[in-house]
Amino acid sequence: MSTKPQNPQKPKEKLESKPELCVIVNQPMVRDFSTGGGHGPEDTLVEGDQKFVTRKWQGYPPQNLNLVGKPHPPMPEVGIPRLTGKAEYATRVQLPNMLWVKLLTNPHPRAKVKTLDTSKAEKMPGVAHILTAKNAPQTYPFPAELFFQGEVVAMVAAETEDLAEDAVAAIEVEYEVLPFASNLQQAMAPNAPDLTIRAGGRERPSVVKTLYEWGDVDKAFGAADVVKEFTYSFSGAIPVPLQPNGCVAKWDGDKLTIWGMGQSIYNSRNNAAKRLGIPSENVRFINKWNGGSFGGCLPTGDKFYPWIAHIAKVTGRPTKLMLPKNQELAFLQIKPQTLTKFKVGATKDGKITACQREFHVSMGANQGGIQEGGGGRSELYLHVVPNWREIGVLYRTNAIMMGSARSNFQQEFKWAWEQMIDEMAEAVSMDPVKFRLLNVQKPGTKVALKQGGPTIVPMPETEHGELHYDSYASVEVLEEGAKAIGWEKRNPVPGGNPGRFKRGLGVAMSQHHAGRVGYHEGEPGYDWVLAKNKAQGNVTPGGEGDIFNAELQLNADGNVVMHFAQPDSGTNHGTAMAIQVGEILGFTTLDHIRLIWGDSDQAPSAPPWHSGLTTQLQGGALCNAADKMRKDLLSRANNLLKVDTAKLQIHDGVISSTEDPKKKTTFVELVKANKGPILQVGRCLHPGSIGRALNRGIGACFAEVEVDTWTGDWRHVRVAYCQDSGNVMNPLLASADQHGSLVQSTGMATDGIPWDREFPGTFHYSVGYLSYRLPTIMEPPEQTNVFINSLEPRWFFGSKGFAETTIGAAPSALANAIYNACGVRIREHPITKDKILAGLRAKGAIA
Amino acid sequence: MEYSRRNFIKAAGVSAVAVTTTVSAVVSGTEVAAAAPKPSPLAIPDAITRETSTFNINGKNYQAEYEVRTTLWEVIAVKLGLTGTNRSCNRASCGACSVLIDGTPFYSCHTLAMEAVGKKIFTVEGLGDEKNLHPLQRVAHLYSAAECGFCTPGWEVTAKGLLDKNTNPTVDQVKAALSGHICRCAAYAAIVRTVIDTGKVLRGEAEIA
Repeated sequence: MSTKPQNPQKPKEKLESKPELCVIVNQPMVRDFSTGGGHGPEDTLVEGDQKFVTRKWQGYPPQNLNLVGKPHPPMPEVGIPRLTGKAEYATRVQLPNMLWVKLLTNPHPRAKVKTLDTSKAEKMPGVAHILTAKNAPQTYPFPAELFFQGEVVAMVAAETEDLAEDAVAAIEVEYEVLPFASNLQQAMAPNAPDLTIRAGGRERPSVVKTLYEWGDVDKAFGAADVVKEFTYSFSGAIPVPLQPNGCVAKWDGDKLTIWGMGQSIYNSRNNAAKRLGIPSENVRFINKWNGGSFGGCLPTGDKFYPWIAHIAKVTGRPTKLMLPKNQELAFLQIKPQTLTKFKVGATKDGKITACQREFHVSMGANQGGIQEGGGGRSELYLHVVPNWREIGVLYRTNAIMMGSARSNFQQEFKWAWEQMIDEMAEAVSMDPVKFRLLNVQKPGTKVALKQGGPTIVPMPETEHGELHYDSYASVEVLEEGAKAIGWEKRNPVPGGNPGRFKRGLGVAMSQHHAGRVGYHEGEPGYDWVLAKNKAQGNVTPGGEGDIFNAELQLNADGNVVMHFAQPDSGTNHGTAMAIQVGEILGFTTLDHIRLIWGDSDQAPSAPPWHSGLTTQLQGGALCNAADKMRKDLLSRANNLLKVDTAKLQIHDGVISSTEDPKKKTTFVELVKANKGPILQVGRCLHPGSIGRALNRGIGACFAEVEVDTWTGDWRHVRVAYCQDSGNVMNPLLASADQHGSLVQSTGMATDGIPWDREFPGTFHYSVGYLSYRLPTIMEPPEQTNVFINSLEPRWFFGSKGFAETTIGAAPSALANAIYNACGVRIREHPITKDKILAGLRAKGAIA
Repeated sequence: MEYSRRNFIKAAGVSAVAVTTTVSAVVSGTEVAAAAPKPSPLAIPDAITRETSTFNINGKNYQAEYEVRTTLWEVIAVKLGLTGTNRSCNRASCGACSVLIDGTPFYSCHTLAMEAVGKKIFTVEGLGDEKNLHPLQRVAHLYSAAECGFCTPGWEVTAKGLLDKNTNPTVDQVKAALSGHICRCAAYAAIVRTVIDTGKVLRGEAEIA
């Protein structure tokens, strides 16, 4: 191939690592809000009933930064192997003499195995072992009842995948089909079967109802100028990571190595060990790269590790499972089917005064008791609702377990909430942005926990301590987003633009527990949360609790090695954390930072990552260690140079006097003097639902669509995707993440889970890429990412988590934009051209 | 019947094997042709009949023994241990397992190994390793066009196939060429930018900072 310049006269373009279409808005470091709250020029914040004192930005203010906020490509040790085909996904692990496992799965929504005959299959060529309920380990049996379509019935290990599949086909099984409710309609029907789980002396009911109230809702409805009722439904959505879930297990004597796929190292290791009845320390768990995980994989690998390890033990051979896509989905978590009914009251000038929300959720085959729909209440953090009633009805169903799937309780709840807000704006004849600006929680609002659930009011002091939303950019995400999309050009009348192809703009907001920060070791809040956890018995074996540990090692070559557990799913959190560690240690490049991660033999323990909080929590542990290391190095330099530490500066591995630059030493010299690497450990924890966990992030999605009013086809033209980002660590990778956030959420708006063709009334869980449409390269809109750096004063450099903030807003923003474009309101998810066309017909816009 | 590769291969056995027999004959001459089974009136060998063939991958010859029904992915990644090519959907829908065969992208999960015998196979390992990255890989790193990285080896070889034929593709040509690749992290914008700007590097109009 010729690389000869074809235009020698033209200077060469320099390709640089820069995000496209990215707007960063920096807010001032001192905030004082008319709504109350904020923080002045003082060095500390004092908060809560405990009067905890926080040194602002943990002593690392968001100014004079060399690494934070600049675009950086992924750290080479993480990013380059992805490009060369060498990233060690579990699916890539090939060992000599390895067996392949294939599954026989349950075709019915709910059944029991009546008879199971593996005798023919056992004699098939290449078959090494068949695992069924009969010979599964007692410490980890097969499920007695097959509670959903796709549940595992038998596992065949053979020399090749094809031979294993041949043997699966030769297993003879007879099922007793049991009464089932596999979707919300069936679960809500009067004749729905009782799916109560009775096991171990405990009863877990089929249906759980919850009721929360605040204020006097009925009185407020009576006083409201406008009262409206709305019903919305969401038909579920699936995450579909590209890498097939599975693992490889290999024994060396009594030591087991598992190469897994998921979002944790230590939890997965400990679960596998417990289920196999062996000590945790006998298990090495490796999971460095994932081909996506999106929250959906949280339970998947853990389910299979013990069985695969058992087969490996019995056969004495390494064993591999790589779930086919039409079986894998049954073991992921999905977004649930939901039905939401609203009654909302407002004054004629647009203030929401009361809201009653009734939601019904298909929880799927959640065996561990039904999770409360608590996440749903995050909408009540979003807008000021002085009087509210929340009725939740949660159904156990013969369906895939609901849970996090590219965030949890976000898209499915915001689908209803943010369309409701749009419809209320119209009911009081207000612009949807102005209506939101009027009703959205403003910075300065205090949030607290009350008994029975979170309450949101302009609050007095409470028992658990309160926090201010003082780095909360609710107004700015709306204003900056409106600017980026050109909201002022929005057609004010739905469907009002002339012609066949009608464009429209829509907005939706989202707010989530992203925005939380933790407490790190050395802060009083750390000991407070730990003591509270201990008192409630929330301490995992080994006393690890919810603590994220990290180690930093400064080596003789001057390189700083970060050790941390978290697997990388394309999240690139290692890069964001390296930026912070490098900044604390005075580096201006990342050249001297190295990462070691994803291996229980090489990284200290940590809980799973989730909720877009890794950079805050695992990163908090690393910042904690880096802060200690900085102080340690300065103290060593002080001993050596006899210069006060306050008059020492660090620049790229050189420590020198600010007054006399000739007085200097280097990291390398200090390590030499130490006669070995200098080590520091750091710790950070997630506060659960107290203290800083009440911090919130907020986002707004502004979408422009074009509807073809002749065919109902529509396309997503442009989007302004706005985040309250604290302080964006790395705009390049944050933008990349937000592209995925938008596109995946858009897919969730347009594709529900298809119905099964063979078992009418049940969902089609054999969902491969053929039956569930996934967005391709042809579809994404022009996306402008807007980062509002609100400079969270409680954390290093003003950072906060935001990966799951705006993600919830996309589906409803699209529905609102389609309404604006053509006047058709789609309350029943998913958005389809048929529904648009039917809506246009119904309003007489077309024949 | 549920769609799967196995069912597809069962149903399509006739045509698939017909292609195969021709290819085998070209490669190893009379020896293979003579060994072709006769009992079946349609001359379809049993699906688990074994073959031994030489595969030319990234310019090197590899020999593998495999069953007639074995896919190209299984030969490359499992039998020959060139694990760079990822298999995801295993039903020719996502593009993750793409390789070039004589310069044209193919889904290796839905290509029978024997179809590729005697042709030039190109996989991600041929693109470049960490010591000698191809400009496509360098630009992709610069723009973070690989997030989780699982679809990456697939679209990289397809993009290489495109750039080999046309170093100056339009955005629409890039999108059309890569429309068979699903990226769940949706790095699509960065991928398009990567291919366009790699073209500039290959044409000598740009350099990587």
